Amino acid sequence: MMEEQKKSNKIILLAPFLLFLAMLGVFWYSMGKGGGSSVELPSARLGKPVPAFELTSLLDSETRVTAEDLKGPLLLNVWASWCPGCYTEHGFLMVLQKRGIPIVGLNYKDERQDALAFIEKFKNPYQQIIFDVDGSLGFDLGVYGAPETYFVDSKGTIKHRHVGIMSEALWEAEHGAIWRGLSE
Amino acid sequence: MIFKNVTRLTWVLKPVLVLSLMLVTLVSHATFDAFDFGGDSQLEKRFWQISETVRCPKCQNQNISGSNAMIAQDMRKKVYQLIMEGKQDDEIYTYLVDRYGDFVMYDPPVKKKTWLLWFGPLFILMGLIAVWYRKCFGGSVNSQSASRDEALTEAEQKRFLKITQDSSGHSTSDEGRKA
Repeated sequence: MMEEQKKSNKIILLAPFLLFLAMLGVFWYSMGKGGGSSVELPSARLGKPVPAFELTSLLDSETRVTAEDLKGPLLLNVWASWCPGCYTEHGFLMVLQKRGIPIVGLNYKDERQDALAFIEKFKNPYQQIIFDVDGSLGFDLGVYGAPETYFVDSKGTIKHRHVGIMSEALWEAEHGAIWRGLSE
Repeated sequence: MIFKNVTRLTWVLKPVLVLSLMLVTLVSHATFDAFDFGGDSQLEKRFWQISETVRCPKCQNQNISGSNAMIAQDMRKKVYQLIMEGKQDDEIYTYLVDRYGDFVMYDPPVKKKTWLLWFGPLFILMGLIAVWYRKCFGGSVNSQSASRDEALTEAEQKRFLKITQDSSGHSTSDEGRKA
């Protein structure tokens, strides 16, 4: 009897340590999975059409752009001159443009002058740039930072959203297949 | 006996103390932008209620009232706009969830996907209560076994008697000598 009680006491004493190990495992796992500080959220807009909007073009403030202009397949890339990741991503967007992949830019909460300077300095990978100065289209899309990229099919339906920088490695791993899936 | 009761008392009190410490929270507002509700405290109250129960998608452990991330600011602005447009609370929540998903609700709907989230902690709590209950009121089984353990064996009883008799003998003889 005494022995049994001692045993159960020992298990209770070990419990916090076991709990600690379990939590360590969970944190370790989610660290590797997230690869960063925050979890990539699934978009609430998947499978839905690009929300209706009416904005102007960054390059020509006279030109109106609406959801009608976003019939793909195309990539809708959210960027801004204030976004450090967008400088990193820019090079790969140029590569995609050379491969003939149409990219529409969504210039998100930027100053027109700064955005134009960015395009002038680094070249323009976009076939059209939507100037969303107050982030209204961004909000309707569920954008919560930049860069973000939406994969839009020929009907204007959002099929995929990538949060963060796109790269050759990611394109080969998943985005290429998603892109090819858009035209099917 | 007194000692035993004291240990039992601490075992009862300890979890109560720990649990009550868990109830202490530090509430913080990040009031960087001033919204004008035209002196309508009811509207302002609703604004705070909503922005405290909506989670910031960028800074994932904060509500939108406690964060100054750009998206949190925009969401606060949107909540303000919608309130001033005369929208009801659930319309505002739906508006945000349509765009940012269930994730932004601190109070997510009960679905198959969120089942563990809702009821997992309850199971853990039940387990802890069971362990704690056994420890405190550890039933008659434990106390009986304890008293049986404390009961003296025959040999011990003989020794006990011998010691007590011896000592009483000594004392009387001492007293006898003194007297």
